[in-house]
Amino acid sequence: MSSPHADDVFTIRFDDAVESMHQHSYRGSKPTAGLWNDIRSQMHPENGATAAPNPTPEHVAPRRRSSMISPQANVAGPRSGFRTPRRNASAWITLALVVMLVASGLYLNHALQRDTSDQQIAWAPGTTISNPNDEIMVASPGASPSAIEYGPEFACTVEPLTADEVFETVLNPDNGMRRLGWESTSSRKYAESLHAWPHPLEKTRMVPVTAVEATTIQEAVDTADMFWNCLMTGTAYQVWALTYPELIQAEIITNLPVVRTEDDIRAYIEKWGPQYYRAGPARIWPDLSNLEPATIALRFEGVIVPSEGVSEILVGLNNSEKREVFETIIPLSNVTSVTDGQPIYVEISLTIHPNGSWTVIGNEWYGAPPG
Amino acid sequence: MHVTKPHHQLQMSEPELRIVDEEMLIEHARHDPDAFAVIYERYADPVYRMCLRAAGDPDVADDLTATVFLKAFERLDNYHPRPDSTFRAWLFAVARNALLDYWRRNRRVISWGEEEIVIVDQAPGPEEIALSRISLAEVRTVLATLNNRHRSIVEFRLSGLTTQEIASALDMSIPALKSAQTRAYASIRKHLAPKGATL
Repeated sequence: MSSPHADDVFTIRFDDAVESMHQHSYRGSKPTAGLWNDIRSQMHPENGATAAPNPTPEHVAPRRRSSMISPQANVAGPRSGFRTPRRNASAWITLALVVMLVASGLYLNHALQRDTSDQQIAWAPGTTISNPNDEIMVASPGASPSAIEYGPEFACTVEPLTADEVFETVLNPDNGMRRLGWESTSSRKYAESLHAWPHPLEKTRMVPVTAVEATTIQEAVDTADMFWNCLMTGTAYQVWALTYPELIQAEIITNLPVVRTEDDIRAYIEKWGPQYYRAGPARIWPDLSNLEPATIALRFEGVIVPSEGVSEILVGLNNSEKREVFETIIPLSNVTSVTDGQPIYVEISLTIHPNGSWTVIGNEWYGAPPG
Repeated sequence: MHVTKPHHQLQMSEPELRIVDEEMLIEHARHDPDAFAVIYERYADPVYRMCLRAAGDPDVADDLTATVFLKAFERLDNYHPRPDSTFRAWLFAVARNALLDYWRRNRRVISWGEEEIVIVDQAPGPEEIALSRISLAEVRTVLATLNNRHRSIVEFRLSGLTTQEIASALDMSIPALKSAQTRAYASIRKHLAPKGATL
């Protein structure tokens, strides 16, 4: 067993060795001199910020090697182009203007933050807001859920929780854990220490399995897929049926005033539980309303390579540049000896960030801490 | 008497000025591809090196580098400055996604057989010797044995990203990142170790 210090030393040595390797390798440290010109030739203003929101893969497909060897290959790169005095003068003027704009923006932002300090959350259109008086206000409706066309493949077929089950979960999330077949509180704490659960932007579903096989991993992937379907088309009761119980509690409590009664909690559950989840004050999923209709086609795609002990979970639209790829490792070797017959939980969480990007995190862990 | 400090004096540190400068460039580049050249110039080398480590072929690395910058340009609208992150972290997240696609399309099973890696000496100081002679092919091979999260952590480190930037790009907490980084390098170390030796 190596010491932490030795590990640190190795880390530095390895990084240095790779840097040295780049410096001493043929074409090891810099791209081809004319590469920028090639890139620039494929850039058009309409491809950038003002472009259509869904660029086709052709726009960004890697150019084949033959296209790299172009008449422009020997043209100087961007550095020389930005050294001319005229460019420099223009750049300095722009810099001065932008610094002024940034300073103004910072000042305004500061002023606005002062003015809105009571709210602390920027609500997207289509969400609802609980005010301190416990009156639920509906913000501008935005895209009505019913206005979005969903195919049957997005059906949420999960059996919904009842109001009583949700209420009980809010009062005591451990009961919800048991509902999922999770009997060991210590195992949950173990998982939290490993993965810093619960994260306010993550929801998880534990899939109990008794052996790690490709089919069971696929089951987990299918569950994640269903989770997504329910986020898109299910009711809150259905989404909560797939949600980490402590996050159900967090979601509901954070949507109620600090001073609340059990009646308030039950009223909230009964009001929002039967409704379409995206129509509710989905505070833990604040970004759903930002999703473009096209992104509802995003899907999970499980790629399972048991022999390598690797499982990839891909999120995205097939053959689209919208696709984001995140992977998880589900070690399949030595499982039996580690778990000693304990059930294994495949844990998958999905995060949607304010900018619309995605994260899928998956981990396997056990009914009790190993070793 | 209350005196308000005038706002016209901007006192910023060098890193802050660099950030302002970068945000200015990005704003400019959203509508002017030529302005994106400065961004390219600033980050082309580390992005290229990351691509080279992924592809092993300078021409393919050029292609991948071009893809990364074209995607970054097209997605500039998706970039929003955040206090806990940087443009560099965002750019390398774009690069990571491009490389994940590449790795996926070019997945090869790498068995770490004795014949594939030849560590030249088992005399005292094997770590220094092994590392001092490490080749691009060996770097690629050892990185390919890592899972993608660990590989991304190592790649981002090699690309000069800070711990905070890596955590932001990979959406990890700092403690989780450090833990994963330790495991990633431990795995590299294990793979580079001569059979029967401890690095």
